[in-house]
Amino acid sequence: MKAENQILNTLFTQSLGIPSDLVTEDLAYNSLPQWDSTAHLQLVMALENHFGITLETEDMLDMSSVAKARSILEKYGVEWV
Amino acid sequence: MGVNTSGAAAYWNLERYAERVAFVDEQGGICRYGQLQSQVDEFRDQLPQKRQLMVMVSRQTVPSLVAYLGLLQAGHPFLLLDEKTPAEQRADFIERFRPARLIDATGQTIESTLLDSGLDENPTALVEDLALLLPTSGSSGVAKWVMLSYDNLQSNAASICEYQAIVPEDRAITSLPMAYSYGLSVINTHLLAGASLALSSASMMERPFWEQLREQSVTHLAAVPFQYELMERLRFRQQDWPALRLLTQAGGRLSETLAKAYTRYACEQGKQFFLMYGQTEATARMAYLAAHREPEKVPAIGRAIPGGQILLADTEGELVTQAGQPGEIRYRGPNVMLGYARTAQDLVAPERPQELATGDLAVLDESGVYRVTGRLSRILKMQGRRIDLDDLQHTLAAEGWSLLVTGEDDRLLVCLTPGQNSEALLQSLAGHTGIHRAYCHVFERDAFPLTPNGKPDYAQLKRMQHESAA
Repeated sequence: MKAENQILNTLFTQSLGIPSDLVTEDLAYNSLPQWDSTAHLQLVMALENHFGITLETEDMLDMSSVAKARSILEKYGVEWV
Repeated sequence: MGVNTSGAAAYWNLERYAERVAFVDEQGGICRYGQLQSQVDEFRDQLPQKRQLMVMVSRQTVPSLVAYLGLLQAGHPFLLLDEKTPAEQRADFIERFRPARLIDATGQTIESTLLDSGLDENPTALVEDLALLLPTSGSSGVAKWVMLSYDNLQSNAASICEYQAIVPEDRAITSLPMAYSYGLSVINTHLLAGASLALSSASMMERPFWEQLREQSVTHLAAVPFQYELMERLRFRQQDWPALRLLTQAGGRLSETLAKAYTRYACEQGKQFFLMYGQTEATARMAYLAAHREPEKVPAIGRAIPGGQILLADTEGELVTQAGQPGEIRYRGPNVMLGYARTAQDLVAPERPQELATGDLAVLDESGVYRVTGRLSRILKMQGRRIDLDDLQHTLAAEGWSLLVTGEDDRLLVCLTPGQNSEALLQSLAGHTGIHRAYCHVFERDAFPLTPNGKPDYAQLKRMQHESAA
């Protein structure tokens, strides 16, 4: 599955409720008050819905930065263009 | 100095369990009650002799546990605050209470000339049995503080220990903030029973939390409704948790679907599952249902805790005694707070209510079990936060919004008149309440529904939202 780089930024922006310029590769869980467990749950649901995948429990927990989210999604067949 | 009226059996007296394990930290380090007391003694060396008001910023780590116990033992009353409390709110509390010292989340005490309650010339002005204060409201920064006595803390811990049958072999993980009444009660009950804690400051969305739960053989997991949703997402019930014997839930109403699913899970796995009802004004707990024993009663709130009493009152204040007749839940017991405080002056002569009017409506069934049927007051409990809807509505109106705010157990509903920026409103809502926007539903109407006597009709508003969502 091919996906625009931009889409990950958009999903993070919406799930965390933050401006898109804050979504950098090294943005990490709990580094902003907005990325708390509530927002993380929203993020997981947004990624699953958008890419049509079901994340493993371990992957939900390991998705602790934007870069990690990107590499985890690759395991599910998402390719960035 | 030291007004610990509850005597040697209080949970903050650690010596009697000297050789037992008090906690395991995030790295797996074990600390016994005797060793914990040594750390508490060291902490107490930096405290003043004179009884003074303090503020303690906490997280679920060793220094906060040590400071918490030190302040209780030494008899210094304190405001207990979570480390995530925004700085401006913290500054407001310090301004209004003028505590003598601040203890930060690393256990360091900070003295300042700014921190002066004005009460310390006359230490008896601080009411004698005041142990600590917990904040109650997450909305719009007008937090009221609940004053709790040593007896409140000790009696509620003893009552919970009794109905949950906490034994020294039990171990609870700190899944909730220490400055939240439910989280604090989990700590207190396990210390009272000579049981142990798995001290974790991780959230359920972080791997270390689950590793600690498994590797440290945790027996008790306490969670609020939102955390049960997370657990479902993480497929908690599909995994094997051999050490876990006890699941508890409090902090607002759990959806019936989840309540039943976890009851089934507990019954099948031979675990215990308690649905609990309470509020900070009652220290923590007021009622409980042992769902694994009475699965057919789920999702009722069950019966009053040992030592407590639940009464139902009708709109005239008359007692309702007939089964099936609704009434407001009134609670009496030794865990009823000393009163509310907004400033240091309120610490002098608390109101000492005999009974708590909860604002919840309930019915009693023939077997003596209470079931909540609705709310009298406009206060919403969401994600462990308490939101005063009138207060929120006033705050937003003062910002210039034309709107009505209502809500249900799991979401805020906002009705706007057309032509306003709903995106900006969502941001403002999140700012005031700390509730994620996914739980805020905004919809537009040309006119607000009114009752025959011209007041906002919130019941109609909910129906309108359901129609617009359908």
